[in-house]
Amino acid sequence: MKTTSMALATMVLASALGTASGHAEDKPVALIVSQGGLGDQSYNDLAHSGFERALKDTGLVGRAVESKEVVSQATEILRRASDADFGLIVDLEYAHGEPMLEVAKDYPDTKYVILNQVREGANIASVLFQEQEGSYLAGTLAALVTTDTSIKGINAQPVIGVIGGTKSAGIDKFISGYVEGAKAANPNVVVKVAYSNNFGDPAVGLQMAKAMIEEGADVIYHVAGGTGMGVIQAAKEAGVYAIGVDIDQDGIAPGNVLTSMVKRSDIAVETVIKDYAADKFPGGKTITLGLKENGVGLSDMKYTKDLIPAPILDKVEAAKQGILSGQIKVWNVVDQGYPDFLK
Amino acid sequence: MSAVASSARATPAIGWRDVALAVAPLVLALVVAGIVLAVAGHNPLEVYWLLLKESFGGVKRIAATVAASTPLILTGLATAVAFRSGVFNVGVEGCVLVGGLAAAYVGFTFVGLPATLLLPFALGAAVIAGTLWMLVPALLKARLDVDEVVTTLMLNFIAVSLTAWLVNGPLLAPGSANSATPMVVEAARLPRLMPPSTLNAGFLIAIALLVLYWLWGRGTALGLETRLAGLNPRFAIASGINVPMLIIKMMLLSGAIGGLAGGIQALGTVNRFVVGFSPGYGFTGIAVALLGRGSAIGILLAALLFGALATSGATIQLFSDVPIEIVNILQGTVMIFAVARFGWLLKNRQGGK
Amino acid sequence: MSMAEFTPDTTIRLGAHSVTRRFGELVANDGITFRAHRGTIHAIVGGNGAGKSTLMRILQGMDRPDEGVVLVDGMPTVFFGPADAFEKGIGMVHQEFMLVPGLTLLENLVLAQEPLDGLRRIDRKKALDAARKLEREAGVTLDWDMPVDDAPVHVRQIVEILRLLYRGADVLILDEPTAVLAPAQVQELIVLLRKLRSEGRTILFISHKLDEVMALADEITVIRSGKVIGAMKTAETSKAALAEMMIGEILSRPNARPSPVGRTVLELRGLAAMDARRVLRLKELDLDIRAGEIVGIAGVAGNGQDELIAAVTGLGRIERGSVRLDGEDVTKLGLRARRERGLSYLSPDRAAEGLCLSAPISENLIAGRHRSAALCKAGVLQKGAIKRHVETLLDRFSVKRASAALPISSLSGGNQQRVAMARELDGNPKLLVACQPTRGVDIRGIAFIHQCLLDYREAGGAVLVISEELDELIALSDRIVVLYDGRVTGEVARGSAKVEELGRMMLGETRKEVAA
Repeated sequence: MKTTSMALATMVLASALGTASGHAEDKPVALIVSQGGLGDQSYNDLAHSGFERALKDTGLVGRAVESKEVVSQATEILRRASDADFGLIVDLEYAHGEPMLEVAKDYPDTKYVILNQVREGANIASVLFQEQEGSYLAGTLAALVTTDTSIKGINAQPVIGVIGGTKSAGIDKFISGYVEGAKAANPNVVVKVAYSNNFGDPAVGLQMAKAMIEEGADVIYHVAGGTGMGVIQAAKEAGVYAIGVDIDQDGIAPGNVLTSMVKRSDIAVETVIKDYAADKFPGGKTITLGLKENGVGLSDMKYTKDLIPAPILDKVEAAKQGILSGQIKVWNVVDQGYPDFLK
Repeated sequence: MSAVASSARATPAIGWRDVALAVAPLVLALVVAGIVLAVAGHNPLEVYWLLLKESFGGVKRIAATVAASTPLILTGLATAVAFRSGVFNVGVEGCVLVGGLAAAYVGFTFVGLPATLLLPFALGAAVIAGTLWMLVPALLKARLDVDEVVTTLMLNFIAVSLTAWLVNGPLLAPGSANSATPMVVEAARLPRLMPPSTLNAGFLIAIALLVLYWLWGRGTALGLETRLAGLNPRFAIASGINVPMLIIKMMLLSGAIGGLAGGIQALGTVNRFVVGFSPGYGFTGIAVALLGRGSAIGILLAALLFGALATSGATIQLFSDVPIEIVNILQGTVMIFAVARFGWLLKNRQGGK
Repeated sequence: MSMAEFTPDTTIRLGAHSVTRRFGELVANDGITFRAHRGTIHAIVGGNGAGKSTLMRILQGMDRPDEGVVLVDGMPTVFFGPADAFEKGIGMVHQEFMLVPGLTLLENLVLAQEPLDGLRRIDRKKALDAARKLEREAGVTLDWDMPVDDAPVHVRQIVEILRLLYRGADVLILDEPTAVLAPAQVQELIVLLRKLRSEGRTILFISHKLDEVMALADEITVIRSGKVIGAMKTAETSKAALAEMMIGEILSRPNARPSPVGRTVLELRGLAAMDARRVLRLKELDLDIRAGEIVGIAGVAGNGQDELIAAVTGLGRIERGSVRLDGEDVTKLGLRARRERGLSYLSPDRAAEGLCLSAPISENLIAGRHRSAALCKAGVLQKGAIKRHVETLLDRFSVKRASAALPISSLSGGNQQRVAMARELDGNPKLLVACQPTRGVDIRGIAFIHQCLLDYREAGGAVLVISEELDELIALSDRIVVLYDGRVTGEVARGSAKVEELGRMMLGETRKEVAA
């Protein structure tokens, strides 16, 4: 441990002294972990695994920083990392958008990455996920499954649901993709949309999902963080299906989570660090990670793929190919505003 | 109870015993955490040196430490004024949250106002929110003798849920996927003292309040009444001091300062309200008040200690393999030893009934 | 004597032989000898500070005598702690019951010695059998499944007694057992104790309530100031004789100049009040005190004195009646408002209520008067004025101190009381309620405090003195009013008070009966 810290200190020092001769890509990388910290078995852990992979592949040195006070100490932490001559700072904390803008101006030679939002600046790269694309596939699958009564737990009614954590463009980006995919697969399908106004209360999720199930919904997608755990619980209790979000949640209730719309924050972190190492850092640009970049997509469906008839899976695969080839353009609420089918 | 106020009483000099009692938790914590570090394969002295450098090594680091201490001075003070009257207010955390949200709301809503109006308005909103938040437990305690430890603790959970709901719904920043209000306008932000550090005028407010607290405790009728009520409520009642009214006043004052802590954090550092806004400033404030033994200088030093741990704990991760858990252990151990006093005080209080 | 010559008198179940126990200068027990015979009820009688509690601690092994021995079954015995004494069959019923809240009576009975079944659970049947057996022995019936918290106080006391029996005690020491009981319950307890005696148990009963002692005890030992004053069979004595032995001679006669008596300052009418346990303690009390008059309240503790203090000061609520202070009806006002109208209150409990021990002397001296115009301007304390005021008062009351900034706990008890007195006489009150004004104060301090009270009276003050010291009441009072069972049972004027007469009135006889 001691030797690594000494090595790092030496490296930092060497690069600080030799900025003229050295390459920017030699400087170490910092990963700022968001609220919840490492060990959350979710966003932070996934991103951290990409961070570790990238360091291993590029040979760069890096540090992950966690703090209970990550929100209130935003600029202090960013400045300290910049002062300490880290070359690249990858920030997972959503609330660091504005502080990063402020700090990045003062350190033009340092490079910054922010996720899930766009921040202007020659030395800032923003990473967005095309959640609507993955959600489109989830909607396609849900619409096809809900009319196939041969599948256990599926009723004859063409009704599916989606529960969002809050009514906002960021969440409706998922929801519109889901609705669009569902309507494309079966124009007669009814999609029930509801908002829990809460990301942390499984009890609310449970109640809302139960209400939807009573109205005939047998597949419910959740975009509601911890509240979604209640949606999965309700699906399990009623013997119907939930669709997970962000990470692979299929294992939470094996057989009752139809699939999960996975956001590969690990791919995002890995990609930018590798670009940085190769001196191709996309400063001032917005990277959009969609199906094509493998940044979003459906889970492997380890527990459910055998339940679903092959023709349905084929149709989902066809939709995916359609998006990849550009034949299908999925509506993006954040860029394009609200579509007609979502009011 | 006597111990909380003991350092503030008008004894001619602070005894060595007081100093030793105040420093003991820190020393014990350093030893315990040192053992943990050694077991985990780190050299404790190296880590402590690094922590010291990261918290006080140079102007920038000192500024960061002082900035991190600012909310803790205020929450420590909020806790101490209640403790001094014999009220165990553990609800400052809730006041920080409602105060922070109130200040942020004013700061992003009344955008047309000039700074000279908007800033006092926003801080005033924070103070009022914190005060009102303590009104119910204050009345319950003073009128019906309902245990304030329970009511104020419960109100914390309500504050967390209420503010989270508000920033997820009605007060959510448009277009934000995160649970946060919009940023407050420039005119509502507290001026920074040493840009680019986040150290801001809130620190001066905190220091001014500490000085007022010191003067208040020593030289005012209310300060004397509060101290006597805290030391021996039966005596205070028999002397004709209106103890229930005093309890209400002190709890509301505690809430006001707690709300101000949130307001200063919202307008000086975070510039909005966001879920995760307070990493437990109210709770750390209890440890600050206990470790500082209720005295103004003690609160300042204890707040600086916890502020130093918070800043250096985050940034030493840039320079060593020491995981955040070690810093948490260090912080937790200081708290346990400080709070051990709290248990003792509580026991004394029940014994006294 | 050598062991060979010594033949123990085995009829003595528990006793003491020349037991002396000193605490520094104080001799708490001075050669105390008594013998409680097997199968009898033996009463130890004495006033406050007679040395009863020290003797009790020694008898249950919590303390050891400096000289003399405890006798168990006639044999000199040294206890190695309370557990050892219990081993030898000696159990103590404390004033504060030791029952565990949240458990039922039955669970409390068998606690720490539960009969267990094969699965190591409490064997309810066996426990209940044991309880029934004890019930028969004691001649009572209890609802054993009742939670302790719901049980009335006398039931708890019975469980406490049965618990000692269950665990094998056959000597019961009861410390003022009737202090917490209503009169009807006292009768029940007496019946129960007699029944236990008939079963062969030995009972040591500590009390200063002579009615009960006369009704219950077979033999009586009276102690005063640590010494045995008399030992006798109950049949051979009377309440009056006991009272006289218990209270003793009067040392000095009052030396007060007659004072012109003025307007009525305190007027109590039909006062009735309950204690914290909702027992009616003050039943019907009328009392007037006029300016320039000291009225003393005499009575055995627990006859309504505490409730009277609470009613006059406004610290407690009353059920019926009215309180007028200097002509104004203050019945509905609290202590603070009454203080503003000229009431002063010297608390009987100096450590817990009368002073704030950890606060400085100066603050103790000004507390309550700290907002007066001379000491405080716009909420800010005037340091200089306060210092001058404090030093003047301390000098006037001759309080020895190193610095007024030191905690008052640094002073001796007598000096502490002077501070309390100084504060209460400061600011010319109209009425001073002085409770146990010289408790824990040495002889010089007592004289000083008495002089203060007499001076105040001469200056036109009205004083209500409540004291357990009859000497004190006789020395100070223009009139002594005797309180018994919440009522006034007699009144004697200065000069005509006799201790034995007062003693009998304190035990419930009215003046008329005394005279006859």
